[in-house]
Amino acid sequence: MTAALLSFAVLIGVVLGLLFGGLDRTKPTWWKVMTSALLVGLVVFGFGIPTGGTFQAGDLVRNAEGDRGSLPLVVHYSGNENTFIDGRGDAREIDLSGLPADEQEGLRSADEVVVNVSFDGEKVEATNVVWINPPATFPYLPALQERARNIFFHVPAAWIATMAWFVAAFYAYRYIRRKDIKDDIRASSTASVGLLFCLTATLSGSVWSRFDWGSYWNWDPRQVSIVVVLMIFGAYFVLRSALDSRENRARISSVYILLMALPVLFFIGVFPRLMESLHPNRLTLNPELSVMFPVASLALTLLYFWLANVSVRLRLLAAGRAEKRYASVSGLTDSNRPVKVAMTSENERLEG
Amino acid sequence: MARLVRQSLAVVRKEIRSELRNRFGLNTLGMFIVALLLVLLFSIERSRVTPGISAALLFISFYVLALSGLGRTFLAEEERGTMLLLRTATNAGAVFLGKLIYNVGISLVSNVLFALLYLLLVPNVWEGTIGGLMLATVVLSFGFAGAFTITSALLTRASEKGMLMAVLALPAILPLVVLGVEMLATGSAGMGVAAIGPELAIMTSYSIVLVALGFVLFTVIWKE
Repeated sequence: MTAALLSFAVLIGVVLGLLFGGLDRTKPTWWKVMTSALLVGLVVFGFGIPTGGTFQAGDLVRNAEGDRGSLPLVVHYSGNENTFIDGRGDAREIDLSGLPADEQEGLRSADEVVVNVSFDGEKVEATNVVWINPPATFPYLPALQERARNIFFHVPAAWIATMAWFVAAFYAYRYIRRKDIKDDIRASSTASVGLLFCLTATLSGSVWSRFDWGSYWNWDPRQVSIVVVLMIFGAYFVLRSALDSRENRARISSVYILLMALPVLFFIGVFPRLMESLHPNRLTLNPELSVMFPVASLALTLLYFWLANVSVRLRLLAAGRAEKRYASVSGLTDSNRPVKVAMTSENERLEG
Repeated sequence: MARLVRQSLAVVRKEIRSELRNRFGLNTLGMFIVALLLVLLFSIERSRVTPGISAALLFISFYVLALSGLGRTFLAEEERGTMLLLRTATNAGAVFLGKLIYNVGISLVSNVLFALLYLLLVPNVWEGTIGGLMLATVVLSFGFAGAFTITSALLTRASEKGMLMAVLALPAILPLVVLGVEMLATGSAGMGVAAIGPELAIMTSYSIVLVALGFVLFTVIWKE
């Protein structure tokens, strides 16, 4: 389900990214506004929406941390003295005596509240109110806590990094077919933005791994995969830097991208399925997450195409300027170009 | 088809003949095998080698042997200035296949020889039968030859070829190395061929696809 949602969002991102403005024309204003709004929304909602757990999650935290623990709960008032009901329907008493009188009243009158509580044995005590009637909440998983928000950045970044290699491979293939240097610029620009996303996925994953699996690097199959893809991106740019003439660079690096599509496919598609992994195979998302997660994937896919678009256009401009400079040095200035064209057509007329 | 085979075999014959003329490549490869074994024997004589370390040593050695033996395929043509001659005399498919067959031969001989000497000379390095390991080495040699042939072709126009070869060929052979190391490190390679069937199947199919892709892409590099 998660993979389907994610691939659907990325697919819409690819269509929106390539259809409007493509890689080498200015993006329409509405497109930029939409993408910016999605990105701002991703940051605001991704970090702003509170997480809240259930009494059961609280018991898990309590058991893990020696009969004491604290976490945010999402609850609503049952109508009985200090008894609150959580998302699973469990009802328990929460001691509100630590809160000011108006907050206590607020808790009782609200439809839903996110409240920080501390568990001490069976006793649940409210420490402070996070949000009365929150617009949405994310589930509180004892193993992930607030770190669960990383899913909005880490998972799409890894997908986009892989997709970037195949976008680059598409343009590399087109270069080989059409020999248009612009296709090489498109291929290398999309790959360079892909490298950025690959780095993001690696770094966000390794920080996440530090807090959930105990160390920055565990040689988990997916960690191996992403670092190999990173290495392939690196090798591609090293190869480009070693080739002098523009045509050679374009041709040989295009072949290399296509050749490396095979190991990329192996490491992303086959390898993680051969080994045991710490990565979860499937994620169960609550309604809020299953909206937020595809939105995050869409926003980041659009960001990828936007960055690639800017990079391609900059390099096309630079290539155009270099050509102009070359033309002026070699005597083919703009002023004598029409003459050359006129002479050519004159020759054709004579030959004809 | 018959013409392609005939031309490829002619390229193989040419490779062997030009190699036997000065035996530079073979001598270097032989020296590499001896030097690698000496260093390994000298350094791990008294220490116990775990299967993981043993696998790593073996695969690093395969990689170094491939770099010195297979990396030179097209670079030697470029150095001797015979590339143009080859280009005019035959077509891309025959050149790739001929060079590939020659490289598979070199890779097979050097890797199998090295693996056997390694098992024989380094004490306590291997438990179980050697059939699985040998079969894995054969499959690996085929994949290595494919990866290095196409990479060597890519690099004929580049500067700093030797260094680049190490960087560029590695990702293409990594799937083989990762599976091979896994097989050796977990000790499943010692349990005979049947125990490593799935890994061998993946390694074989990966190598075949790699060689096929290399064959297709080589025509693009060959055409200027």
